[in-house]
Amino acid sequence: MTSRPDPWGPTTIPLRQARIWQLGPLHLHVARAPWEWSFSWWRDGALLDDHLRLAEVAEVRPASRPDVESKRFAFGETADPLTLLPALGDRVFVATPEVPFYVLPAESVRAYVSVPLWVQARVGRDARLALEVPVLRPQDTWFGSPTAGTLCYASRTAMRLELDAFVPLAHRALVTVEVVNRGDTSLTVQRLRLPVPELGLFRDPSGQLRTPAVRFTRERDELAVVELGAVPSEWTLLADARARPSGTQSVVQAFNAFFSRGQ
Amino acid sequence: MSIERLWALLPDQTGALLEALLVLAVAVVVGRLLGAALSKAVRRFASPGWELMVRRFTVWGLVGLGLANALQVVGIDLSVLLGAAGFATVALGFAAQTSTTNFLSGLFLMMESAIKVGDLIEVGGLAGEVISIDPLSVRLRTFDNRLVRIPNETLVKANLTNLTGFPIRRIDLVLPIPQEADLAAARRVLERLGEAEPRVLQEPPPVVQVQGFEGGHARVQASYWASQDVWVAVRTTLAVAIPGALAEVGVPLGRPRVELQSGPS
Repeated sequence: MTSRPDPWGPTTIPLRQARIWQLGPLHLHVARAPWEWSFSWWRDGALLDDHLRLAEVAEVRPASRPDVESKRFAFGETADPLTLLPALGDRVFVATPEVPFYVLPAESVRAYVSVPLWVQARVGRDARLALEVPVLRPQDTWFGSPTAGTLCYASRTAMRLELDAFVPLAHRALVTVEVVNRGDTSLTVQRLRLPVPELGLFRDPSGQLRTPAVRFTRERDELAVVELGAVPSEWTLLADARARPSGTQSVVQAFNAFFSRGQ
Repeated sequence: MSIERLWALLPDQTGALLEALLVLAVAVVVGRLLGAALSKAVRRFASPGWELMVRRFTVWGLVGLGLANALQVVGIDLSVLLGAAGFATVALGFAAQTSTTNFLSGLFLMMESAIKVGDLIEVGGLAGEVISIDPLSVRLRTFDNRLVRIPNETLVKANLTNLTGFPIRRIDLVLPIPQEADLAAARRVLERLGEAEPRVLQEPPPVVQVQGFEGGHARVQASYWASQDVWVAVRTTLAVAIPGALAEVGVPLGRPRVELQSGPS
């Protein structure tokens, strides 16, 4: 993987000036006035667009487009810096392989899934959170029966089995998924429920944003054990887990709570 | 003791009156405190409707007891009053018949957990948001902001639809498309519209089906799923987008036509 310019961190924006960032499909325009920060954002470009524009000088008025969304934050007096930080999604992701794959009995596989990042804009020295937007708004999906389930984000993925085949993008985080089949029958993985809000966000030495590995173990008794892998010591923590502190944990639930499969 | 006599005795019974007022005030305060405590306890395992009913019955019950006690303190014999009011009792009996039915219906409604405060329901041609479930009736705020009081008995007897009973809901859009148009292209467009709108659920997947043919048109139903909180917005977004998206692939929307022929059959 090649290292790329880092969009995350503090920026100084002089009064009555604006800056613009582009992280893949997301364009974020930030203008500072004496008493307000105003944020405008829109999206264009492809899902895996890798354009990166970092704090470029822009007109104070954002682009006039029908799909621009805006938010203003009023202050007694605005203060530098503006800090952009990455975060993971606020809901569970359901990863759907473009082509479902089989895991034979007594077999284990490792696959790689990428999930879009959320951009947090924090203002002032105390870095108060003003805005949080996803780089790409994932499609909603439902995991469970129509009468009871969980609203999740959908992630259609190639679910690559080789890390080298993965295209690194500054606006996506890489999740390592391990599937262990201890059952007596082969397992078809059609959909996988990734507990993204429970994952911390890290940067590996190559600059790629990563999460702890998620290991799904199918037991003989049709229970699924979900564990979060240990994080290598050379990784740097960028954002804590939203739901609970990241770390090794073990969740045992009914098999269908994590997998959707056919046999 | 008549009311006139009571008023004549007032100066001598000031103490009793004060005592009666105190009893009533204590009953109101205790009723409200106990009602709040009981409803808080009920909240843990029951719906807001039960919570509201427990609170109101506790308050009303204790205030009623306090009132009866207060009247006795000032020397008014309730049994004599009630006995004398035979006509009123009969009238009350007739009135209570409806009230009792509504009250019992309210209990059944809450036991079934068919509705709760905040739900959107349809009943008897009315639709709106449930704003309270009372012992005798349910109050509904219609979408044009009218207050409708529906007796509980009506809700038990009628076909009641809870529009928000489940967390997700299907959007059905029925489109008349000329049967000579490219229906396969129309289907692809309608499916892609669902994929392009992030609030449309990927699972359950959108379904596009031809329901039949009528008047030279195919009745095409496009069904999408969305969560309840965005259902109306998503339905509007799709309904606005569909005609233009179909027109781009040369598929018009139309009204089923009726052909009339004149002359001898």
